[in-house]
This record gives sequence, C-alpha cells and structure tokens, in this order.
Amino acid sequence: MVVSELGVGSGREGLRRAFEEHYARLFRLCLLLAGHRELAEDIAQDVFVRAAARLETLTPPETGPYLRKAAVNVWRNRLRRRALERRTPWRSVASTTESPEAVVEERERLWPAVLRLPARQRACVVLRYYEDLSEQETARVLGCSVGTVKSQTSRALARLRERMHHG
Amino acid sequence: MDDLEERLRDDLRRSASREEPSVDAWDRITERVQRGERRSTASRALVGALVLAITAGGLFWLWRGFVATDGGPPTGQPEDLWGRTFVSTRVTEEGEPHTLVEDTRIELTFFEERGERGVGWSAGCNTIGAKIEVTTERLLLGEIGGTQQACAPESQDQDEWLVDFFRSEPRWEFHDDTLTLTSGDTMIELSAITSWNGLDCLGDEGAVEVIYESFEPAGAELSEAVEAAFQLPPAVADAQQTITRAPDGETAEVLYRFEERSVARVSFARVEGGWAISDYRACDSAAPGS
Repeated sequence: MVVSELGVGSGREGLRRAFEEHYARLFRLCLLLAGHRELAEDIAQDVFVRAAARLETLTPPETGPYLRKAAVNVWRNRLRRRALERRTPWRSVASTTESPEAVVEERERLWPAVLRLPARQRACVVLRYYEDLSEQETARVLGCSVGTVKSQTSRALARLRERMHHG
Repeated sequence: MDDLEERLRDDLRRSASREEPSVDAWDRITERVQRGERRSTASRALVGALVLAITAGGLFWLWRGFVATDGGPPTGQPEDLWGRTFVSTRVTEEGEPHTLVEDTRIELTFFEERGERGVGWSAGCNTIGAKIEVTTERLLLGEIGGTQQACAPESQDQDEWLVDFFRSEPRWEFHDDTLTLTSGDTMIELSAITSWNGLDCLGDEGAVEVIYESFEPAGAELSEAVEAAFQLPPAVADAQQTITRAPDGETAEVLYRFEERSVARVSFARVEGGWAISDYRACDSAAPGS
C-alpha cells in the first residue's frame, strides 16, 4: 500500500499533512461561527489535538468532514458553557471598524448579522453558504433532520432580510 | 438562488479570508500533542504498576470483607447502586469547589457482568474500571485498568487524580438519588441519571450534548424560541413536547417526553427582544410524570 492510501495517518506525519491541508480552512470556519479570532484559533487547535490519534485511522476523504464536525461540536460546547456561565458576549472581529469607509462597508456586510443569529441558524448559514454543504450534509454535521436544516436556514434568511431592510 | 444567498456566500468568504491563522499554530498543536503522549505513557505505567502490585501480592483482584463499624450510620444500601449511572454535580477539595477540566464531568456506572460486579468511570478522557465490593460504607476496588488513549495533559492529570481517589477506598452515601463519595479532603457528589435503550442521556449521544443555544433571545415568539433553542438527538427526535406558560405570561416551561420518560425540561423567560432560555435540565428523573 502506498503512503497516499494510508490516509492522513501515520503518526506525526499524518497530523502534519492534515494540518497543512485543513487547518486554515478550519480556522476560518471557526472564525465565522465564533466571531472571535482568538476563540476560533483555540477551537481549531483543540480539534487537531483531540483528533491527533483518530487521524491515523481516517482516509483523506474522511478527514475534512471529520474535522469540520469536530469543530462544530467544540464550538457549540463552548457556546453552551458560555451560555451557562452567562458571561458577557465575546468581542467580535466582525464588528470592528477602523474608518468612515469601513463604517459604510460594515453596514453592507452580512457576517455581523449572521453572528447575531441564534446558534443553530448561524451554523446552518455558515455550513450551507461558506462550506457549501448540502442540506443533507449540514444535517449530518449538526445531528439534526434535513427538515430542521431547511426551517432554520429559511428562518435565518428571513431574519437577515429583515435586518438588511431595517439597518 | 436569490441575491441574498449570493451576497451571503460572497460576504462570508470575504470576511473569512481577511484573517490568517497564527504562524505558530502548528507548534502549539504539536506541543500539546507531545505533552499528551508523555502523560499517556505515565498513565499506562501507573495502571501497569497497579496491576503488578496487586498480582505480586497474590491477589488477582481485591475482594474485601465488610467493614461494619468505621464511621457513622450508613445511608443507602449497596444494592441501591447496581445498574445505575451517576454524573458528577459538585466536587470539592478541603471544602472549596474543585473545577474539573473544561467540558468534562465524572460519569460513574455500577454494573454486573457474568456474576461479577464492577464499576467504570470516565472523566472526558479514558474509560477506567475495576471489580468492586461495596460495603455498607466504602467502595473497595480491585485491579484497576482501562483504555489508554492520549488526551490533553490536563485530562490525563484528571484521570490519574480520579484513579488515586478510587484507590483510597472512598466512603459513600446515597440519598435522594444523590451519591456522595468522600476520601480525605475530597468530596465528589453525583446524581443518578436515567438511561433508555442503552443510551446514556448525558453522554455524547445524549440530549444535554445537543442543547447548544445560548441564553440570548432566540425568538420573538415563544414557539420560535423553542424551536431555535433546543434540539434533541435523532434517537429521541419523536419526543413529545409540551409547552406550559405561566399565568403572568412572562415565563414558560417546555417538557419533552419520550417513551413515558421525561427526557428534558427547558425553562424560558421573556426578555428584551423575545424569549430566551433561563434554565434547562435533560434526562431529569425528577421531572413531573417520570
């Protein structure tokens, strides 16, 4: 069996390969979900540390979806814990502005509005429109039904339209 | 596809591409993995040493006689524990709260297999267990063994801390579905949980793990907030949902029932901007009707 057929996994080499192929995208997925750079980095790294042993058994086509699902799980666990502890909201990189031009641009941006969506709606939007997952794939990642993905996405789009119209 | 969806795709990609991951991400990951592997080796050595010490003493496992008079009056009977699973709700050291590793809790199961009794526990990393004798006051564990997966260093430390705790023959009390274990200055309080169809409702597949909405307003209308705020795993997706509003209209409770069991209860309160979760419990054996 050639190395490429062994999946990402023969020890550290496999971890390295998975890191090079997936880390940047995983970090950006976490960023879009969490809205906070340091938190996104923390979640993405946590996923790789936890998955280091598991990556040895995964084939290349399995690796990306596995890491994506793990990242969503870690994110929502953090969210749940934050909710339970009732901390103040994270400072969002999506809401930072540096200049008048940036303020104008900010108004036209959708990501800050996405970050204000309830978590499940936000996850549906990010997975459907950033990760380009189908409704079925999104349902698998979130562990819910396709119907839930449809209704949550539809509700999210309605909210976003409303917010766009009302500033 | 309408204009909003196109704009969403563009904006999310543009927003994400503005940020680059830190240059030392790889170093941080490998450092944490290496630390985890070192601790894993230490943990294997610990379990191996335990096995060696016990077998060298001529005992394949420890079966102890009853200890009848080394404390106050017992609370609960040993038979109360068998077949039950408990999850930690409070841990203290010297009377002060002891914080477990993030995202972990101690889950403890008393089981019987082929006529032998055992106890298994997990605290987010390895699953560890031993044969056990429960006297009227203490848990007496035999040979301790378990899985040997590498975890984050703090989780490895927590595993070792728990092994030490259970080795110390902790005293137990069981009252009102609460199991309290004490040894020295350490106290672990655990609540009995309900399982159905072999599914541990507080485990990875359980209801609690899929409640991930925040306490922020989830919807302007209560029904919308309920749907947005709470999600049951597929195994219990058909759970019946009952919404009860308080007379003043300011709070509400949603009860989920599955196969005659109350599996979750979520409280909502009216807040600025709609309704939000104010509290929740899952697989709550104390819920009405269970």
